[in-house]
Amino acid sequence: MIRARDLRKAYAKIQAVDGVSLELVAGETFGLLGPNGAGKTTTIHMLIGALRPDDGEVTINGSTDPTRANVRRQIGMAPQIEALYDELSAAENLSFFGRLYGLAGVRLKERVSWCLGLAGLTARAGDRVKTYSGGMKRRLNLACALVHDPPVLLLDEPTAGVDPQSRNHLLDSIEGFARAGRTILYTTHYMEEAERLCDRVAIMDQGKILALDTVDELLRKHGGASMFEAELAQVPEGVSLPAPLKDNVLRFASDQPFEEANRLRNAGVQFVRFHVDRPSLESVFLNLTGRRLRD
Amino acid sequence: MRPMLTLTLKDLILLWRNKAALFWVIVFPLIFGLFYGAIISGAFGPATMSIAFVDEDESAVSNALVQKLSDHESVRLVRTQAEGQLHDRDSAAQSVRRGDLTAYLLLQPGFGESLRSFGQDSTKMELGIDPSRRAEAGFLQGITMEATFSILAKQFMDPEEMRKWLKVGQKEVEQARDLPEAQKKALLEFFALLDGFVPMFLAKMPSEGGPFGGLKLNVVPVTFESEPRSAFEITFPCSILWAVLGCMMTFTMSTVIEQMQGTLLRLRVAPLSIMHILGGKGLACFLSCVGTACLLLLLGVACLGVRVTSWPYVLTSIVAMAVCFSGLMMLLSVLGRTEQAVGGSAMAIMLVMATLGGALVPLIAMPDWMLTMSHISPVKWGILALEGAIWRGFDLTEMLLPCGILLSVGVLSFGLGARILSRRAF
Repeated sequence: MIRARDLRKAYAKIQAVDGVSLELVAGETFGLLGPNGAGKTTTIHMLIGALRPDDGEVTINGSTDPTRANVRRQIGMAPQIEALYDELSAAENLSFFGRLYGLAGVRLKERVSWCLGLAGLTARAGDRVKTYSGGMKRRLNLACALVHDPPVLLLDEPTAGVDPQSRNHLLDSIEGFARAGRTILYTTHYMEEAERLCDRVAIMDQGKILALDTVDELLRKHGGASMFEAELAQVPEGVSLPAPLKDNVLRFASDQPFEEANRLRNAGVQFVRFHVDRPSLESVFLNLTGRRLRD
Repeated sequence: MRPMLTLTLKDLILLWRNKAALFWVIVFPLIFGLFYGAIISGAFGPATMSIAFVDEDESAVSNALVQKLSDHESVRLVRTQAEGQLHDRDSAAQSVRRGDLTAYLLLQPGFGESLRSFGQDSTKMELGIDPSRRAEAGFLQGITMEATFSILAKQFMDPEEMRKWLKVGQKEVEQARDLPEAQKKALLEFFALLDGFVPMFLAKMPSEGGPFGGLKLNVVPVTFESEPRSAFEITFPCSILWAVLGCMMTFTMSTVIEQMQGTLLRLRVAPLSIMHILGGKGLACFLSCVGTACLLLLLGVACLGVRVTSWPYVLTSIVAMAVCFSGLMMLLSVLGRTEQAVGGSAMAIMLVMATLGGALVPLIAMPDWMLTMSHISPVKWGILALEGAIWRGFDLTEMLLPCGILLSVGVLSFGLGARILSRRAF
């Protein structure tokens, strides 16, 4: 559905995007995960045609020109910043953007009403946006991308800077879009969001895609071993432990921590408590770059 | 066309809801026009110059001069000794230097006596002026001399004063050492004869005016019609220009704000061409320029007696101005990438344009080099086009130059600004 081949973009001497290639298939939620400045937004802007790549090619539904009106009508984009008119109300913002996509009359009213419901702003539909909280603006920002009912959504860090309640509301909504069969490109620097929402994730850093796969595969290939930690009550004579015991606490790394725990229990080891730290996309990023995601 | 109109409507709604912008677009130009119109029409009273008067002579003649100047409508005389503010020449000079007063007039001891001699001693009367107010100083010199001559004329009308004058002359001739005796004798005989002729001479003098009455100058305004026009007709072209400049600044800022807040990005990823987006913005600016200009003009016509010589030409000049400043709006909006950068530079450029164009400082007060430079300001051509249509009575060929310049500047600026903006990354 969306294919990018070897995209490159430089600002002065800074190579913002350096040879990015990716492909989104219809109905999948694809995550671009990386720290701030990794090149995620620049990539999205090139995909939508807001920015001309220095090199490379974008194909959307067979068209190599993403600026064509019929291509644009299939895409909804929620920019990273709240791209709204503060002096207009939520309903007016939605109506305005809807009209730009050719909606009118009853259809426009229906879509505006649906979007207001989605954003939880029906009761505040007539209030000017400048009176809204940050979370309300974020929700409206997302709703404006959906007013023309596009099959493809490009969501650029839609939860950045919002409170946990609004964030959860947004993530629930996005999960709903995915269930409805929309194709979603989702950029974020929150690994837990990528793990929760995305079928496939591309790890991006310094303009390059370092790894691209399903979350499970990324964890398996690059996540490293799980960390097992347990406080032991009793260790029978002759049982060999995978690591030295220190103050009755056993701590070791393993690819199969639960199997190891089971073996110890069968050997008569009694546990007071135990805890397994599974690898995350954070550890994937750490292993790939040597840095933490939010450094 | 429909998306462009949608964009235009959105911008006009935003302008309508922006109270600060509305103030600069409508209220400020209206106040400007009313204020300057009132000044020109004399509603606040005639313009006066504050002059300190230092009377060290304290003679009848110096008092008469003070009275004469006080009666002049253009002078507000601060008689320092009476008001106890300024007591001497130095403090008067200080006040002029500080800009509190336009000038001071110092009459030194012996001023009155010196007038009686046939060669007035110029060192007895001193006019200290503020160098920054040269034009007024020239006018002030004129009315001071007029007042002095008027006093002299009055003295000649009085037989006793005339005889005193002749006695002073006789005495000076008698005491003169460098005059030959024969010449001295002839002059003294002449004075004796004059003394006898004084009553007859004065009887034949007109009661006022005469040789010392000064020249009477009839000042007439040169307009298309001989009938005097409203002062607001003179000031409203300037007001309309301020309104249009207000629109230009408002839309310049709205364009850069759209870049910064991301709405321009949202527009750019919508199924619109860049020309739709920029055209919508330009059309909104154009319509608001035309709308505010027409509103101000109609207010002037309805409430302030502004009469328009040619409505078609007024509308043409308003359209040309709106095109010009909508184009400039587009160019100014790409001067930077932040509100501060664009706001600062656009404001500076607007002020230079307004100053050079005569919207801040009247063209008449400008030195020659500035007058030459004023040709580069679209404000000057905008004012000229409006004045031409409202009260100068321009014909078609005379309207072509200002309107042509305005249209050309507008089209070129819009093209350049749109080109830069369309290539810019958001």
